[in-house]
Amino acid sequence: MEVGIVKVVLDDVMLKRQNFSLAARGEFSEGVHLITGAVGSGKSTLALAIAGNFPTEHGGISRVGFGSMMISMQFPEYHVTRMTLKEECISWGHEPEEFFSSPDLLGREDQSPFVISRGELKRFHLSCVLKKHYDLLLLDEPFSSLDCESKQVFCHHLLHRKEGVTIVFTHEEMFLPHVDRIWEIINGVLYDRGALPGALPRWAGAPPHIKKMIEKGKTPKNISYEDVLEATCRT
Amino acid sequence: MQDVRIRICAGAILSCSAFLSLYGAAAALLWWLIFTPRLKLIVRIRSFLGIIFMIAIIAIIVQIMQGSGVSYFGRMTVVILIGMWLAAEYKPGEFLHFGTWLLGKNIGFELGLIAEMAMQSFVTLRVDLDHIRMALHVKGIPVTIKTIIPTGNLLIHRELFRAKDNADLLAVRGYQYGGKLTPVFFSCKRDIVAGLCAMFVMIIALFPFVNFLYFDSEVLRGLL
Repeated sequence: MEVGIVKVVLDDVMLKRQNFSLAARGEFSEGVHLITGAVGSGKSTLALAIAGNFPTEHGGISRVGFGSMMISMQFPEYHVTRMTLKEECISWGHEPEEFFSSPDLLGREDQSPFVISRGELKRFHLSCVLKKHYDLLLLDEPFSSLDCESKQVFCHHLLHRKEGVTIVFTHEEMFLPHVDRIWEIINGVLYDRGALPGALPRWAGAPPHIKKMIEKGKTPKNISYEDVLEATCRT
Repeated sequence: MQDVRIRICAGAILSCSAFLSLYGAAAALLWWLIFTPRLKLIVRIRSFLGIIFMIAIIAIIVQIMQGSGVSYFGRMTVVILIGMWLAAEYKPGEFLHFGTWLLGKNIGFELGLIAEMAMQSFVTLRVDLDHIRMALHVKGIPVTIKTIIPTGNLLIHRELFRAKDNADLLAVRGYQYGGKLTPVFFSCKRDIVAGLCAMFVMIIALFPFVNFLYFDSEVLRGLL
């Protein structure tokens, strides 16, 4: 094991599921990576495969130098293993006292994870995940079910992740995190679009407002809401 | 087996036969070996072994208390194999067709729908269990006796919530009672042969009882 270097290597990986297949190769080094693609393109399958929970048809996936790993699946209820929010919080290894002192969770310790809305459960789940440090953090559709405010809070939280590899799998277009590299799945193939900001013109499925900015010659420095806003206001 | 009518009847007959006597269990096992894909049915070997393990525990208790534990184990194992065959052959919608064909558009449709929903619940229970297992793995929590009880609680909890959602959905769509459906079935010669053989298995299962009654009547006649 290489000391100090953390990376995920996809070595000519082929993933198959019924009528669907995905070919992927590349190296995910330290930083935040964004993997985009249409619904059903294979983002979740790739996330599961990188986490070691989905078998590869051929090729191999190496996780180099990781002490800890976490995969956050798209549906927050998939992570629930306990009957109350308090027990659920403990199951993630957190102290409930500090968790339930925030205004949105105050007095809700004994509520069932299934009686709160999916958006609330997603927010709760992401809080549990992001409260700990993981060397490899895989976030499958972290924005699904979240309101705009929560999406922005989540993006700001990722800014603090200076170490390790973070891979965000999403088809979100408006509220995106500040990322280091963009990847894209098109017609069953994973393409590396490169580091920011050079990756933006190569990003075929870029959100329309970012494409428009590039056309106008105002390429944003990154893809976060703040970066796009800065580019819009640029004279 | 394509025809759900023959399949359900054969399944019921074979299960009763296997449970009635060891002769019946042996004949039902033979039937299972001839008319089913056999070991291909056991897709979840751990679940199968888990069930067999539970039966074995009960069989040991029965053996200690009554001395018929070995027979119980053999008979129940065959019942489980028949049940696995029925579950593996099931195709969504079949029970609705079967219920409507058997008991008509009111009570038959209703019972068919309940059976369909129950089967759907089995499938979702399995998916839920897989998700919980993965969640425990992701959180680094080992699967122990301590985690089994909350997992069971959680599964029941989820299922109750889902049942409520289903009830709401049926109500929103205006469902009240019964429904119209033209049952469609497909059968082939092999289905009929398998069905007839299942009836023969029942005769074999009843053989010890017939023998007993005959013997009993002989004794009775002697006494008289």
